Amino acid sequence: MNFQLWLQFATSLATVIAQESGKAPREVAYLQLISSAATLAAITDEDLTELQAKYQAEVTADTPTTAADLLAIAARIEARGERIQGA
Amino acid sequence: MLRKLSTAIVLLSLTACATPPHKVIETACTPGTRYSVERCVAGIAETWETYQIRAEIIVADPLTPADVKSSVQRAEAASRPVVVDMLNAGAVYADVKQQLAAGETEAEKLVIANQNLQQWVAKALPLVRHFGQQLDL
Repeated sequence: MNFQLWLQFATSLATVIAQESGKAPREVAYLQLISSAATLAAITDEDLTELQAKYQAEVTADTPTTAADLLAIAARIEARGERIQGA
Repeated sequence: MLRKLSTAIVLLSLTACATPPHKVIETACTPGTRYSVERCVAGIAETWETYQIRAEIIVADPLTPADVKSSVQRAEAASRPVVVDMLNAGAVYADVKQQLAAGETEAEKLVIANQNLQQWVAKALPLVRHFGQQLDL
């Protein structure tokens, strides 16, 4: 069993115990937080791996990057930034 | 307990990260005959954007402690303008390059645009690294 699966199992078990006992121990919240961080790290890792593959393909094909491409990234970043600051 | 938790999260994030961000930038900025400064700029910005996507999830998570949330928001707000300015400088460079190829401008303008762009790249690179480190805390 890998660490990610272990965390999911531990979190589920702790949640069930908390529900059965009628309490929400602090450890459950910590386990959920660690589990969220692990999931998030895995998502980021996948995104970065995809990104690296994309750029490798672009280098190989010598695909040009245009001004429009760069401005599109800037627009995405600005929009997401506003959401982050407003959260 | 919180310190142990933070350490656990940092270790977890590091071990889960099989492809560090600098590998993406290395690929996008590969020196050689196919090197393109515009592609390099896009690679740096999209690496930062990957962190920004992570930041958005973190700040939206109700489990995220308030101090962590505000720390992530501060790091995002501090680095975003530099990344956006770098992208704008990259777009200017790409336009001038195209104009030069069409014989519509002088080579000197491309040199100036390139110098300006390099300055933004130099400012952005440490911020990308710092933003990533902030998210692992």
